[in-house]
Formats: sequence, C-alpha cells, structure tokens
Amino acid sequence: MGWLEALDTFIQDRASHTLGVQDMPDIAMSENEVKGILLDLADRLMGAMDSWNDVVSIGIRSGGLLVARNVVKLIEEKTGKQIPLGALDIALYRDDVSKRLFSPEVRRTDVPFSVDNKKVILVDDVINTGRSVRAAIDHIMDLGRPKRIYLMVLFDRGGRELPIQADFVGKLVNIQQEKIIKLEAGLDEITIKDVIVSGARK
Amino acid sequence: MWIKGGTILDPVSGMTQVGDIHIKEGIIAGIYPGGKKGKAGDVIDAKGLWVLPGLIDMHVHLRDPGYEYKEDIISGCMAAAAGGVTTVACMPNTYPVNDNPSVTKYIVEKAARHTAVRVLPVGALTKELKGTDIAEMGLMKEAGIVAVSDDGKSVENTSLMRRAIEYAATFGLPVISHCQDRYLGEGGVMNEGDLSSRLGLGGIPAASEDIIVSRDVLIAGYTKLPIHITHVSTRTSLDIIRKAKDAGISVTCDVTPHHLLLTEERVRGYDTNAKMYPPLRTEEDRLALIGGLKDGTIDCIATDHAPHVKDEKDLDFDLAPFGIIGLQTLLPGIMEVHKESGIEFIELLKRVTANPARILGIDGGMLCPGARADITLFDPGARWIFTEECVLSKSKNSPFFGRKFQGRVVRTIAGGRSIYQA
Amino acid sequence: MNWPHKDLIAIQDLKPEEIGHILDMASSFKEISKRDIKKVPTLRGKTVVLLFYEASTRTRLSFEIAAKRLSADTTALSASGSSFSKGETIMDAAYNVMAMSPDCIVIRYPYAGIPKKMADLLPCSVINAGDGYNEHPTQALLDMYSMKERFGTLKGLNVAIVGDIMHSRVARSNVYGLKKMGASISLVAPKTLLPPRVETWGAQVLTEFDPVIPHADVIMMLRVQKERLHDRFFPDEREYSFFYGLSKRRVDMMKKDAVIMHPGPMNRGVEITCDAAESARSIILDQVENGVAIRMTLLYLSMGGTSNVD
Repeated sequence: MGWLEALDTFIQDRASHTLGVQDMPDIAMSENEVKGILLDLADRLMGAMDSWNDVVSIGIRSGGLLVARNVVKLIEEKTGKQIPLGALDIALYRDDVSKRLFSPEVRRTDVPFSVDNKKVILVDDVINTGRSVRAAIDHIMDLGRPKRIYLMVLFDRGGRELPIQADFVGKLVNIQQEKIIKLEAGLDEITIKDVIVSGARK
Repeated sequence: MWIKGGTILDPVSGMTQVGDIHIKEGIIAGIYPGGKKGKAGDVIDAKGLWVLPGLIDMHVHLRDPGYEYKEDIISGCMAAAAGGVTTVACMPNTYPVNDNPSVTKYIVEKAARHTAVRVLPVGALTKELKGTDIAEMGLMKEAGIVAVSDDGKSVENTSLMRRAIEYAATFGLPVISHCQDRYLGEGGVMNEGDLSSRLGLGGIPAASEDIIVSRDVLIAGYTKLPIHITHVSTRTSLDIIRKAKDAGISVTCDVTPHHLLLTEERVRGYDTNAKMYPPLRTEEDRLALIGGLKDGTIDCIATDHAPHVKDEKDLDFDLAPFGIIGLQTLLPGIMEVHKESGIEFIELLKRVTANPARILGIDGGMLCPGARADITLFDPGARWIFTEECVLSKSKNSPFFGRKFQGRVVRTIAGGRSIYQA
Repeated sequence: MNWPHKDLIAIQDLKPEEIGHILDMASSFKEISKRDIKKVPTLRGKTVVLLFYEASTRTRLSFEIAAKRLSADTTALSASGSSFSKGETIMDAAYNVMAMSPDCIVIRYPYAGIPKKMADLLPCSVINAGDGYNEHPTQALLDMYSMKERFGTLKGLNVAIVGDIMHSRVARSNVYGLKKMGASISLVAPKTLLPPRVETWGAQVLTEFDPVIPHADVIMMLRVQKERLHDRFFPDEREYSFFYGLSKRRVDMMKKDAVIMHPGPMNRGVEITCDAAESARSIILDQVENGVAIRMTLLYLSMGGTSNVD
C-alpha cells in the first residue's frame, strides 16, 4: 500500500470514531440536525480545554464565522464564559490569487484582540483541499504568535491537497467534487437554518 | 440751503424746467419744479442760471503722490470745482504707481481730509504699469478704487490683457483701456499725415490706436466681459466701437473736449500746448466724433486732465511731455460742441453725469431727492475769455488760452458745501 | 464584482458601481496598515515599476508602500538622472521597461494622454498617477473614500473645491468622480484660474469664496503653484490668500461637521493657514493614510487576476 492510501485509511479509521461516515444526499440538512452537530462540537471543545483564560476563537469568513458564533454562544450558555471572537478574511493570503480569472472579493479581517500566546480555535464551515486553512494559518501568524492553533470544522469532505487535519470535526461527508456546501443563516445571523448543497462550484 | 429759480437740467429724469432745490445735511432733500414758497436757510439765487448735477470727470491725472509740483489732490480738486466737476476718477500713473492698497488708501484719505470733491482712484491694471504682472486689484478695491487702467500705455502682451480683464471681472472692476500700439508711431509727436510731413514732426498714425481698439474690443467679445475705451480720437476707432456695440459686445468709450473742438491744425506754430496723446487728428476725425455723440456711440466726455509745468512744456515740440489740462474748460467746451453741432445740451450733459456714473458703477450724476448734493450752477449766457489767470491748477498747459467761451460755471456745490464761487 | 479593467487611467472611465466597489474594498486594505506586520502575500512575485516624470514625494511613496505591503517588488525611476533626460521619448522608455516584464507600471507624466497610450499599447497594467492637467484618479478615489468614511455616503454631499482649478488634475478627477456618485460640487477661483467653459462641468462656479462656506460639507483646498504667480494668473500671494485662502475667519464660518481637505503639499499661509490645517476639521492626514489603502486596492484589482481585461 502506498503511503497515500495508508493515509486515506487512517482518515477513514479516525472518522469511524466520530458520528460515522455518511453519504450526504443532495438535499439540505435540517436545522435541528445542524444544532446537534454544533452541540457535539461545543462539548468536545469544552472537554479539551482545561482553562478558558487564554482561549480565543477566529472564524474564517463567512461560513466559518457563522459556525464560530454558534459554538461561542453554546459555550457561553453552558459555562458562562465569553470567548473573544474574531473574523478572518483570507482572500489576500490565497495561493491562487493570480491564477484565477478575476481578483477574488476581499472583505475585512477584524480581530480586535491579540493572538500572542493564545490558544486560537480556528473555525471554518467546510474543509476540503486544506488550502483555505493554510492561508488562514499564514494570516494568523502575521497577526501575532499564538501558543497553539486548533482547527474546528463543521464538515470535512475529504479531498486534501495539503497535509492539514482538523482537531474537531462535526461530521464527515462525501459529496460529488463539483458540488459546494453553503450554510444559510437565519435573520439573527447566528442560527444555521439550512445546509445547501448546490451544483455551481465557484 | 435752497437753490431757487434756476433752470434745472437733469438728464436722467429728463427734467428741464425752472424750479427750486432744497438741500439738507449734504443731501438733496427735495426738488420743486415751479418753485416752492420760501423756507428759511441759506438761499442761492439761481435765476437765469442752469442748475446741473455736479459733473463727473472719469479721466483725470492728479499727479499725487509723486509729482506734486505739477498738481496735487488739493489743487486738482480746486480746478475741478472751478470747472463744475464734483467727482473725479484719478489715474494710477503716480509715483509710486497706484498698484497696491497703500497708495489707494493714501489718495482716499488725503482727499477726504482736504476736499469735498469726490476723488475716486483708478487702480493700475498691471504692477508698476509694466504690463507683466497683474496688480493687486482685489486689495485695492477693498481700499477704494472704482476701476483699473494702465492709462498712459497699452498692455502689450495680449494674453496678459485677457487675464487682466478676467481678473478685474472677478472683483467687478471696470477696465479702462488706453489704446496705443507701442511700436507703430513710436517717436511720433502729432497725428501722422500731410501736416506732420510738412512740419517735420514724427507722426502717430491713426492705425496705432485703431489696431489696439480692435484688439481690446475683440478680447472683450471673446471673454464676454465689458471694456471701456478712453480718449477715442479717430473715426476708424469709433467705427469699430460702433460695430462692436451693434454686435452685442459690452464696450463703452469716452472722448476729450479738445478732440471735439480742435484738429491737428492747432499744432502749426509748434505750440506744445497742442501736444497730447492721442494727438489732435484731422477735421474728418473731429466731425466723426461729433457724429458719434449724435448717434450715441460715444458714452462719455472726459478731459484727460494732464498737468505739466511751464518748464516742462517750454521745450522743443519733440521733447515736451504729452498732455494738457482740461478741468476748467470741460463745460465751456461742451457748450461749444452744443452750439456747433446742434446736439441738445442735456444730451451732452448726460455724457458727463449719468453715463460715467453708470460705467464706474457709482452713485451720482443726477438730481433727485436722496442724492448727494453735488450741484453745478452754470451761466449759459456769460461770455468770457479763458486766460492763464483763470487757472486754479498748478500747471497752466492749455491750448484754449485766449479763446472766447460762452457759458461759465458760477457756483459749485459738493456734498451740500459750496466749494467754488466765481 | 469581477473587476473588468486591466488599467486605471481616468475616473471618467469608471462606472459609479465600480467606484463604489473600490471604496468598499479599501477599508479591508486599510486595516492591514494598522497591524504589526503590515504585509500580506497577495502580490508576491509581481513587479511594479514606478515611472515618475514629475517630482513627487507623497504619491510615489504611497504607491511604493502600497505595493510593498502586498508583497510586490517595486522599482522607481524618476525623471532626472536617467535616460529620460537624455532625450528618450516616453514610449521608447516604456517599451524598454516592458521588455523586462513588469506586471504593472505606475506612471506620472507632465503631459496629458500618455498613460492612456501606454495602457493601450502595453500588455501590463498601467495606473495613472497624474498626467498633465488631465486626471489623477487615485487622488480622487482616496478623496472620495475619505469623504465617505466621514459622512457615510457621497450622495447629496456638498463639496467645495477652491483654488487653481484650471491647472488641477485633482479638481478634474474629483469633479468626474463626485458627480458620478451623486455629490454636489462648487468650484471657487478667480476668473483667471477657472478653465474656459467651466460652466459646462455640471458644478456651481463662483469667484467669491465666502458664500459657499456655510453650506459646504467638504472644503477642498487646492495647492497654489508659486510658478503660476509669475505666469500672470493673479497678482501675488497676499492678495490670493486674502480672497481665496482658508483663514481662521473662514474656518469659523464652516458648518459644525464640515471637514477640510487638501491633496498636498500645502503652501502654509497662502491657500491654507496653520489654524485651518491643524484644526479638528482637517482630515488631511487621513487622506494620506487612505491613499495607501486605495492604492493597495487598485494594485490588487488590476493585478489580482489573469484576465482583467477591458
């Protein structure tokens, strides 16, 4: 077995310890299902952190930020602790900026606290190739020197092109390469109402 | 004060009848055609006299500061008063040149201290009249100028003339233009023609004026801004101005009394009191100018009163400075033109009252209640001979000595004060 | 929005939505200059050549810093001490530079039209940093950004531009831009410094400064070039500053929330006094800060894709 296949098997193995691999049909996941996954993520995070003093959360715009808001809210409801939350825009750190047809949309990075010596919970909605996470890590390094970065994702759809794995995975999913996953928030901009799998890859 | 029984002539209202004028605190309190039964106060008996608005001479050289030996504000205004002139616009070719607010202020303040004649300074168009840099028109306006001019010369650089006109318009200042091509006629001392040839004197062709009149009028048309051409002397210039007015260009002009009464013939004998700029021209030019008064092309009559003392004028014709005095022969001169041409006296009167007031944008030049009491009493029948002894100016350079005039100023009132009495 | 332009030559070429897009993006780039590490790797490996044929400190510096903060490599060439002064034509110089494969040329040139010509003939991005009296688009963009930052919107804003309008590319670009974005403009200058036919520009034109002051939200003072003094457009500095300078008396006449702007460099005491330049209303230094952000935005948009074509 080549080392790539071995890695694949390893992932599958690890995945089987979570909520189980599922073939995601081309239909949305319900609000309650998503709530369940979020609760689970929050619980596991609470289990992994021995203290909250030096914990901060940064969500990658815009799906990751949505997930991070939910997790931070759940932690606050359960422990009373308010974890500082920042938003990261990774457009300027992408490795494919000049290879795309048009310059990607740039939004604001808004991290109103220092990351020096902190445990940063980096949150994204979906991890795929791993390149977005790499860009996010580079960006965080330009903001300061964290003690540790943890990666939390709502969905892991496989398809890595870089050796990057999440510490906290909500759910492993398996969908066709050309489809994309998008979260839709409610009016309060926190509640995730729908998970949409659609055909157009940007 | 009351002026009673005179024939009131007011070109603005058109009044030409006998009546009384009541003056109170320097202002005309009331005009009563037909007279009003007497009230108390000083009474001036004006029976048999013409009662005119105080004259406005829009082109005068007071020579102050710098050339006080020729004239100064005080003597110049005394001569003005003797001529029935109650407002003078004085040109900036003093020393230092009136191209900055300090000199303007000096003139305004000296006049206010010493005379009731209204002295309105004209500021320079260009610094030091050099024709290279625009003068501080805005600051001078704050200090009291009413117009700008480089009188004595033309601005040679056409682009600068254009910018100067535009800059003056920024401050609402009328531009008075002396039109003379610097090179054509350089060295000339009289009108170029048969006479100058025979007399052996250098000539100044009419064209040297016509060319610059044409230029200035065209710039005015292009920029759609007004211009006033001073001391027009040739029939061609007049024609150009007439056509420009017809074309809707905002141009006005003035002539001197001497250009209306004299021709180049006066130069025979080499009398330097016949030497001025623009020079005395031909009879055709003179008649054309009178025609310009008739048809309304000429807006104003102004003297270009230019004092020079005897020592200066008593030189060879070629070397003597240009210029003659004129304040005291203005009204008598107008009377002559009236007699010769038949133009209504009141029409001519407008050229030294309401029209200059309008062009300079000032009050005055009319007799109406509320106006400043600037009034001239003129005896239209008096016959007299103008001599050197009559002259109140410091300089006595006039071509009219010995001339018999009909009509004489007998009293001048400025701001309600009597400033001259014959 | 997919940015469709390879170059930035004139505000006249931009649609209002495009201007809005640039202004929206600029705040993201502004944030970078506030970090400790003022760099993002976005334009790593890109070469930006600055050709400045006119003396300029702040614009050149601004572009260089902007490019470097995006990790691009920059080289600057100025007019003196180079083949430019040896009589080489600008297009020859441009082709020579082009042969060294820059990704972007930022050009400032004393005569109008050259940046457009370069943009049409060269394959790289061309950004106009000021061409003669014609346009200075990045200045107008940073001016508009500064106004929007302060007031939230440009629509309906009353902007007064005061000074040598005739010779100002800053004025022209701002008039084009502000009109597209729905602002109201007043131009104030002595008649000799107003361009011919300025009445057709769609702005209110005045030769007196005081009347606009109580109504203006923005008063933008233009630099009076001392060279102009002796070119006979107005008599001297003291008359100019009396009638058209932003003095303390005039600052006191301004609306409560109105701001003072100036593209720099200032002639203190001529068009603007110390009181005005240092007053709380002045956003002159904000303009400079925003200049870097705007230029970063433009460099990003022009070079951030393979196929940004017109």
